[in-house]
Amino acid sequence: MKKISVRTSDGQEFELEENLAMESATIKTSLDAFSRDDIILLPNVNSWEMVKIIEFFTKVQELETKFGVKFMEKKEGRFLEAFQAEFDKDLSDDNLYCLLWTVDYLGIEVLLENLCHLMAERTKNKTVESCRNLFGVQHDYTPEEEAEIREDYSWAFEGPEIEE
Amino acid sequence: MGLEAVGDLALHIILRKLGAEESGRAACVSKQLRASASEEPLWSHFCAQELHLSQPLDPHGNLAPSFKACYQSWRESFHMYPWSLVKRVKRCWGKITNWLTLNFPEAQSTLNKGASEADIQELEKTLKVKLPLPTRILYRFHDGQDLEDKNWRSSSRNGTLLGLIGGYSFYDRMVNVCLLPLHHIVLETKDIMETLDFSDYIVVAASTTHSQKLFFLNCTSGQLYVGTANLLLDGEMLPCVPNALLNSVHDRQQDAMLLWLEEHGRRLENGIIKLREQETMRSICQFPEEPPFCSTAVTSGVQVRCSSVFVPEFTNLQDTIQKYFFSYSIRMSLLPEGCSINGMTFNSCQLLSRHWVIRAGDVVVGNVNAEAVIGKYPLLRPGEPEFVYESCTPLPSLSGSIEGSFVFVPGRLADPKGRRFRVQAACFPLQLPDYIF
Repeated sequence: MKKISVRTSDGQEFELEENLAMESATIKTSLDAFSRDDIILLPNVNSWEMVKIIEFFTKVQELETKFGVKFMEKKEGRFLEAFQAEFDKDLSDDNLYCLLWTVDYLGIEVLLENLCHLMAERTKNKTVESCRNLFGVQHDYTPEEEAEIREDYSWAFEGPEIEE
Repeated sequence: MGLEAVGDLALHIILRKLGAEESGRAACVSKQLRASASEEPLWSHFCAQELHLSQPLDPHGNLAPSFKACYQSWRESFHMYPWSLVKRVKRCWGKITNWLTLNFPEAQSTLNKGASEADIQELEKTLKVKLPLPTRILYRFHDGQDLEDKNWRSSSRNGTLLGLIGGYSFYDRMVNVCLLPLHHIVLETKDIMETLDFSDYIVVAASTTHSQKLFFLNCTSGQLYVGTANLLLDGEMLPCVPNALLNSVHDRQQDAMLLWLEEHGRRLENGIIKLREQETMRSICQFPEEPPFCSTAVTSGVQVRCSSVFVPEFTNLQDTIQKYFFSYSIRMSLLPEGCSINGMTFNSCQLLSRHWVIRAGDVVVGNVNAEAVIGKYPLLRPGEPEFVYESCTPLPSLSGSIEGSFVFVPGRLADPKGRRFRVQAACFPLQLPDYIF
């Protein structure tokens, strides 16, 4: 199988298998525009991110063989859980955000689903305050505004909330 | 980098996976998240997934200005109930109304819109009961059937045949069960309790015909009951839903009526029971149409299908011989190829006699060998609609079977074209069912 070469923002070069490279909408567009022998430049992707992405791809292919779920097809529960079991613990929140951004930029749908699943699992059942910490966002509501929006969504607050 | 720097697509996927409640909470985190959590595609997804709505219809059936507003209106309207239970009831009604819209629209149009919380509280106060939560929600969606203008409880033998539950007919008895609206529940309950004097029971369903068949909901245990032949004498009733299923739920969520309607919806959806057309009147027929409860046999081109239905209102638990009562429906037809015997084909045949062996368990309790069926000698022609007749039999035990055969003559009785031949009626069960309708 043909290999596609890419170069990340910090100058490192990687060789991707063609079928994997084609899963990235961004890389695919570049390939269609230029010759396949050229190196694709990815100025928005770090080398550590590329390493991770290749790791993810390999795992996804493994899971596909194991569960018989076609690559890119319905992202069923066991598939997501297995992925999560493998990668979740070693991924910090900040790294997860970076990867989410990168994978979105590269347009790799299957990885985006999996990473979003990881993020969603980390967010579940957290209080609004701990979400702010997790997401690294600013609390930009005035007390009146916050009261108003909580009133609006009062039905959303009847489930369990875990303090962290 | 934080969550807000992540792309819109990723945010949308994350919120979608989190679900409606979490998305609502996410909106309270920051203004940007509120923007992401307010997007229509997200709420359109939740409306579709949780409420099976492809259009933003609020609980009153009106179009809401957006999917988000629509979802919110449902949550607010039903905030007094566990949301998972609301979704379950909506699914149950959805299955039934989908089937009705496709197959029996005239019955669909008798379904009233939902009762209000005030209406339900009024009934509870008047009858001094507390309805189980699932039943309350059932009525919030649809307040029974409106049969006011259709000979409800009239002296007319036929009554109305638009009952949601349907029924059966045999000889001169016709049963068609409908769901009562709240104000009728009050009337019927007060009426029957003058004789029975049971507290905590309400009448929720009844046959609209002259034949009495009443379904009671016990508001404490949540179980649904149907009156037997001894109802007025002894208050005798049979449970309509398996007790084991019922007892697995607690906390005012015992839901026999919901389980009962869910089972009914399942049977309709899977074609286990179907519509019957009798003299241009259509009704839901409780005689099973599918194996294992409906048997089929073809002999010499004559097809015979048989199934039975349990008749609780004629069942008498205190009688040892004629305890359980069943009705059975026999449908016969001649296949398009015609009647073939020994290589010869005939384009008609006529019934002469019947032979039935009725068993209670393995013991033969009835052996009938007689002319005609319900006094008729049906003439069958190829490809014509089935000739259907119903009869009945009591049984000393709750489980048994019937099998038999018919003697037919090729051609007609008045003009036979060949020798008589026997057509099989394959064995079919008589069984006290786990769900009684």
